Amino acid sequence: MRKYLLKRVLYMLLTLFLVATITFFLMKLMPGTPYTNQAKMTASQIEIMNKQYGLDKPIWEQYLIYIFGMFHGDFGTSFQYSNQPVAYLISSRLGASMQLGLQAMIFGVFFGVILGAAAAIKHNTWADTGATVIAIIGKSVPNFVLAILLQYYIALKLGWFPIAGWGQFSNTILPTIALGVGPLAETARFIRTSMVEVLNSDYIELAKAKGLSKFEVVYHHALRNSLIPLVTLLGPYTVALMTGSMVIENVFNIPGIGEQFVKSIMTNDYPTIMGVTMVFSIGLVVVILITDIIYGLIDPRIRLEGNGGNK
Amino acid sequence: MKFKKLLAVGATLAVSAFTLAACGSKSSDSGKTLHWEDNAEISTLDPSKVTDVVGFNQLNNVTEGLYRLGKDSKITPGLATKTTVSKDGLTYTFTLRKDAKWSNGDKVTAKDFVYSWQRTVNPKTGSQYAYLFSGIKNADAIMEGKKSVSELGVKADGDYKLVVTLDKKIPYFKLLMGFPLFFPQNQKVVEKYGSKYGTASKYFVYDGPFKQEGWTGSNLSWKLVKNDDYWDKKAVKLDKITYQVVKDSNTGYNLFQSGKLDGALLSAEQTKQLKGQKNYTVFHESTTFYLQYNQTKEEFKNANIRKAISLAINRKDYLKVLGGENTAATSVTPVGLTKVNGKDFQSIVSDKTDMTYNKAKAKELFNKGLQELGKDKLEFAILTDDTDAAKKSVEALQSQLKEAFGDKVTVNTQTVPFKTRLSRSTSGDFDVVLSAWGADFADPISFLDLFTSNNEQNDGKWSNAEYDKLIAASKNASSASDRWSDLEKAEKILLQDQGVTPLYYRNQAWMVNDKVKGIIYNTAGANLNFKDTYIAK
Amino acid sequence: MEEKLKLSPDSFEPLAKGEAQDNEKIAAPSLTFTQDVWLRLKKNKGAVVSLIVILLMVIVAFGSTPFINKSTLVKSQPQYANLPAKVPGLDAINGLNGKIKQGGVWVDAYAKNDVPKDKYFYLGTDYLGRSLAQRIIYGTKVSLIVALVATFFDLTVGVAYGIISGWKGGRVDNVMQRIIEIISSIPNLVIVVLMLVVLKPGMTSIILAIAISSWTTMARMIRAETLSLKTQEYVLAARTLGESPTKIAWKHLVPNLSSIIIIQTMYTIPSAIFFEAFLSFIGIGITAPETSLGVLLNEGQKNFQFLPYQMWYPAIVLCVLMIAFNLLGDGLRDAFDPKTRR
Repeated sequence: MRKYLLKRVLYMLLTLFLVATITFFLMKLMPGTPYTNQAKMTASQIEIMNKQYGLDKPIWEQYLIYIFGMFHGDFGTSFQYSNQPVAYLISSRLGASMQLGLQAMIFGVFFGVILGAAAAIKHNTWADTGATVIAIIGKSVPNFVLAILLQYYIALKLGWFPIAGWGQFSNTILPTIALGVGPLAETARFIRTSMVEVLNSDYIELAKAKGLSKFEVVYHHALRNSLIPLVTLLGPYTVALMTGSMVIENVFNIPGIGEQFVKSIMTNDYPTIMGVTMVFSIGLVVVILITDIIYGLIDPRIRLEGNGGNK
Repeated sequence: MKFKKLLAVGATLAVSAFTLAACGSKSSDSGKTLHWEDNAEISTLDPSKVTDVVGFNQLNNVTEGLYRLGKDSKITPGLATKTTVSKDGLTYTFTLRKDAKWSNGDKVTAKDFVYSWQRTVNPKTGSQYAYLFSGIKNADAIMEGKKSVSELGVKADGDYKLVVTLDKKIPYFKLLMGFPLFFPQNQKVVEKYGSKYGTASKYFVYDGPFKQEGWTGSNLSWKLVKNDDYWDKKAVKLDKITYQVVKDSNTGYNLFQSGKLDGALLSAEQTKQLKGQKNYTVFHESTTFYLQYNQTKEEFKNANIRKAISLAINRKDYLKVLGGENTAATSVTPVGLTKVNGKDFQSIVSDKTDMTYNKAKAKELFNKGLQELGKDKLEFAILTDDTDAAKKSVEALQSQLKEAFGDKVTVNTQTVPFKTRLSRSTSGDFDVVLSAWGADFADPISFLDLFTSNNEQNDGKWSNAEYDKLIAASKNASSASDRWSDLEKAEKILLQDQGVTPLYYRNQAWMVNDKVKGIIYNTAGANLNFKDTYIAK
Repeated sequence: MEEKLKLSPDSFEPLAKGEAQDNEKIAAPSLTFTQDVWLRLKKNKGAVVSLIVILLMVIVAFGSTPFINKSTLVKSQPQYANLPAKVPGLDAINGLNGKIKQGGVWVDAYAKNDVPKDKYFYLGTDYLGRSLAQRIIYGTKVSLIVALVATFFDLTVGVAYGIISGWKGGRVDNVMQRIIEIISSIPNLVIVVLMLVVLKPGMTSIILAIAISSWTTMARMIRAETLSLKTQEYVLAARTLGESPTKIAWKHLVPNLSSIIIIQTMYTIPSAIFFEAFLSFIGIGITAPETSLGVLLNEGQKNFQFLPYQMWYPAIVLCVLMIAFNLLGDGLRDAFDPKTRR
């Protein structure tokens, strides 16, 4: 187990290093300069500014500086926000996105499991069809459309929740719903399928035969076994949610990282693009590792030694 | 039974959230609070480094310089109580008021100006707006790193006298003094915070009507509160201005409708629908959109082709497509920029013959142009960026040109990200590019300088000796009226030759609560000035 | 009492040749895998309806090519701008009779704008006076093209990559998995923006960007399945018989992977449509005069408070399309894997 972990962590670092390298050189392919006021700057000024940001150095040198900085948690200084360290920008913005992502996930999984389980238990009845249609509609309506509808009808017309803003719990409800419908649909579909399969298996028949109550059968045997594979499915999804959704953040005026990221791309703010990309990648590889470990712990059938294949 | 518990907790949470939210809305406004929106985050408060309207607007309300620009960019008193100009117009002596204080208790002195200006022109500071200092003695040389900052033509004579010397006359110099870039900075504070200076409300010091609170450097809401150390605090009527960054115009309008905002910027679509309704307000901007032709290419060197394109554009229909509150351009300098003897400069230079839709004449000129070029067809691409308005623009231009010239023309469109558009314009990698320019100060030279042969922003490389001569002459003109006549002649040459083809002047449409009075919105530079704003009962 | 079996000698006579096989005769005709799947799919009403809906949409979208092309899309008629739907014969239904709610009152927008009486726009018009119905049909076509091309990459690159990775195993597999990990760690948006920079902005670069980032899921699933398939007896048998790996892959792996492939494809299509819509929404998607469902949605949402139909119609079409693909995907999964269907 320890050997396996060590190997995985090493691979993880290698992956991150490669991602950093690739994004760095991809950034350099982007045209244009990072200066907001480029149209009004003279060539000599741009030259001086480039020197300031170290953009006049050869690319390999910039690369080394960047990689070494990263090891110290230094992602450089934003071009767009003058003098603002990227690490600060990300840390101050990540909180809102993570909170929202986590809430959306909890919301989605909670109601998704209920919906999916209900559909599986009442398999092939109107309840099943209803749950399936809800799940599919949830998956089919783009969340930006949903956000606009929620804001207009629930917040403005009915006045139940604040229209936009951040700070109070009530602010988070509508964006959570808009963002959480995706994972809800996904979870419901997944739970339904795997539970139908499990409910038809022999050990459930056995449990029923033993005279266990319906709830115990469903909860102890069916649902639990269905939840395991859900972990692998939802891990990366959670990272994606927590790293922010630009559209939802824009509609509800949420100071999140997703919006920041899109803006940094549009304004050639290379250090910020790189910083957010790295945070995203770190989150992703860590979550993949964790889910693999959890998976191994829960399900003894999975061998952690990896699959060497038989040659 | 964990599952059951979880269910119960979830249900309680959902219910309590609901009830919490239902009683969450409160409205305890004293009638002295203004709720305003901005459409982007503040990038910095450092006056030397601000580059965007959001930042300039903030600075305009939380700091103050020699003058404060009032309605129609009129100069109103700021920190200067008296100004004397030498006969040759090259030396300005400002006497400062003695009762001005920074919010940390320090007095605002002439040294703060000297420090601020030297800091901005210092190439190490990396100010992207430093070019505006050009004309002040030695500024250009300092910016190029050829001279030391102490040689800048600004000196403090005691604490309350500021002496500025110029290399050449700057007729609009006083206007510049109302622009936040020229406001003073407190050396002690700048040095204390070092690289953090201006990156959050608490890392800055204020000498304006308001103080900023609650901006952390990356958040989306903050407020301005009345500054009790401000010398003219009696004139300030608002207690507080709350700001919210609104990126989605639907959200802005929703907030406005529910009374959470007193002002909301409208999108082109909303403008179309809300025009003429109560609270609908138009703010004029000094921004002109125009086409630049790449005149290193044979076909665009031909004046007839350029004129034909201008005449083929039905600006009225084109603006209908674009939506919003824009007006058709008949000149490069926009409406409302400045007045000459009570007459808008724009109306003096306005060239209707070359910029009014005339299909027959356009066709005639186009054929003539083609003949001169020895071609029977013209194919070119219009370069633009990927903003909504830009995309709609090229779409409309494409269909109008096609309609006017039929098979003789093929117009392609190239939509690229904003920054790419800029770098391609600068490097001359385009046929025709849709450009925009906004004035930094209310003077036509802010526009006309662009099209002199050697200007770095003259992307199309249009060149006209007579034009260059007139612009140069205007800078050394002995009297104001000579200067105006030089500028007028120059712009007329530019328009008659269609060196660039102006399309429209951009304006902003807002919904502004009609109880809010006394907002000063200037077309150029820092737009919003809330010093005199109040909320009627 | 003792009962004796009365066996006559003729009981020991062999049966006539034809009779013996009757016992083992399968009453139903023998079915191939495909036929079997088709049979099961036919029983799933939702899937069949979805299939019909998708086919209809494909036929309408692609069949419209001679009538709706770029030049019809460019042509604007500002005098007809922003008109609501007007369908002949539906004068009684507000919202479909040319009336629109303005400030709480239904106003006849056609009469207000002096539109000729016999002019009908079945789904209304957009801000340039272009028929929304035409634009939606064209937009659907573009969205479908984006989805299909992305799927094609999924099928070729993703499947091949997954099979090779799973089949070869060992170091090759390890390296290939790292590559997938890296690709999925770089945010799609960065890839798209770079594509837009390298290539000309427009459909090609968007399709490519979606293609580049979308095949990894397919590759992962195929790899996992290949890993388990390659230890199966029939594959071992084929190997021992000396079949070439290509042939094994083609003859044994691909058919057995087909259910995963088809199901995954059904999920790729909607997510590609979605991603394109998202790109258009943030303004870096398809460029004018081309349009897509995403572009239409984006244009519609800006006007949502005043002209809700401009968002609703494309949203409904997108939803129907997505629901159809999802239901068909579910149906196919059930059909391929009868275990889940009981």
